[in-house]
Amino acid sequence: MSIAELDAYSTGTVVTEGNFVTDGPEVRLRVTRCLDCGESWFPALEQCAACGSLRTSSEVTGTTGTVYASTVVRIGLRQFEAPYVLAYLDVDGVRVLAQAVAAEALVAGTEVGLRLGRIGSTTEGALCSYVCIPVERSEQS
Amino acid sequence: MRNVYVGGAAVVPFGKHRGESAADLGAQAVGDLLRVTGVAPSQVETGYGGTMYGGSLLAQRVLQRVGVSGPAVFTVENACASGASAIHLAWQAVASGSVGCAIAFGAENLSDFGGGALPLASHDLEIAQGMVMPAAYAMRAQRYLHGWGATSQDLDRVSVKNRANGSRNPRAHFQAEVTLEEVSESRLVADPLRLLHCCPNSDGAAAVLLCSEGFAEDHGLPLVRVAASVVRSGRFSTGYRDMTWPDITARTAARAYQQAGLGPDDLDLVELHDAFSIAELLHAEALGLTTRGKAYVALENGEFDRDGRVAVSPSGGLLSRGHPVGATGVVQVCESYWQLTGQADELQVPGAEVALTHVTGGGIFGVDNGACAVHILTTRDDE
Ligand SMILES: [Zn+2]
Repeated sequence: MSIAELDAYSTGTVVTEGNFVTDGPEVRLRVTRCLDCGESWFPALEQCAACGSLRTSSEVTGTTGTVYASTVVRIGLRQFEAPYVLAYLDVDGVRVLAQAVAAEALVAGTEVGLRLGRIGSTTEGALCSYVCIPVERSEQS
Repeated sequence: MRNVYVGGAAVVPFGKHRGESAADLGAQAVGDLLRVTGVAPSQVETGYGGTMYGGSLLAQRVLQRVGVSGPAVFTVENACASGASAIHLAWQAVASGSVGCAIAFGAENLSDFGGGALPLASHDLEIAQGMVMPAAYAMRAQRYLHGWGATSQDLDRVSVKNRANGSRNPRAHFQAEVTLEEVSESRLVADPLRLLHCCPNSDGAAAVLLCSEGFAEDHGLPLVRVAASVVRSGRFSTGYRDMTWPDITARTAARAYQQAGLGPDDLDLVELHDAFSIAELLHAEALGLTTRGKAYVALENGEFDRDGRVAVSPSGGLLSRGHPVGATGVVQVCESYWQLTGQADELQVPGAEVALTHVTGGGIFGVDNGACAVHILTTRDDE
């Protein structure tokens, strides 16, 4: 799937909408950093879940991350239209699960970009959220 | 705290029990337990029932059918650790001296939900992105293989061993052996996990009697001491973390070994939460059965076989026995009780004196698992 195709799909019901901001076609995650213990949280929290501190700062991440682990889900819930690829991504201090625009499981260490994309559908139309796409692929397309 | 003993065990064989509710199955298990122990319902001073899908007040609905109504009774939900959590609470009641005899059971009927994936927690961030339980373990598997040089054939070996063990267990859901070829050619569920790397959804129930030493002696029951009973919750973090090291298992086990005054080298057998084949490798390491990154080598060398260094899941594990969620933690203690009292028949681990049971589960984002329970049972004297 090219970026143009990806963007064409990016209309529909947005899942977990308050958890990220869009920057053109790119996505930045809303995160919390604890000013007392340094822990990072996604989705954003008002109170640090590690130390209980209320002294936190709200930030947004960059638009890229690194794959920690990945799989192809071949039997899943209908709305996600298996097979689809899932990956855990490390993004500026938080580990995030996202669908990946890929045909196979991504190798650990793969650099990815975050974008708005289609993750499934219901009878009411497409479901959209943040997805990741390997960096080389996005440069080629 | 005083010593607590397992005084009896009963299991409704795991498998498909369509048309029988969790309460029906639980009542059969508890009824059998009272028969085999010869304990009168009036002597049961409290009861705890573990279930995830059995519904409100399951413990009352089960126990009242066998003549236990009136005393304090609790229904316990802790996902896959529900049954083991029920045992833990019954253990606390006896250990504190507040009761002399308690029943703990687990019961579940998953056939009521039809086939396929079980309903998961709603409003979970990862489930909203398409997470399913096999995918969570699949990613741990990919990372474990990547990090430690294991191959998918090492995952296949877990299934082959546990299915061979389960082929001897009349209480197991699957009682047929499988070959390496059958596992490696079974359908992919979530790469690299295949169908035969996954435990089946099952129906079933199991019950144990926990009691004081005096109660056991009065009733002539064989003494199996609960040397440790520990439950822990998952530590919440959304930062970077090592998903090949189940921290919740390591923390629960460390406390259990300390409580028992025993270590991994003392164990003759372990009933481990192998919901997926990769789980045996991860948890075997976190339980200290082998060094980090070497569980697949120990497995290949036969160290986890029934007659090996430490038998891992001699009853067949979740992979064979099946996984009626709330009943799993209880059946592990039942199987261990029969092992330690020499009643395990074809499953018997020769000379077994110390057993460890381990359940962990509950897929919520940000933690390894929601809850983990470890019990250590022994026929050795308290030292
Ligand atoms: Zn903090």
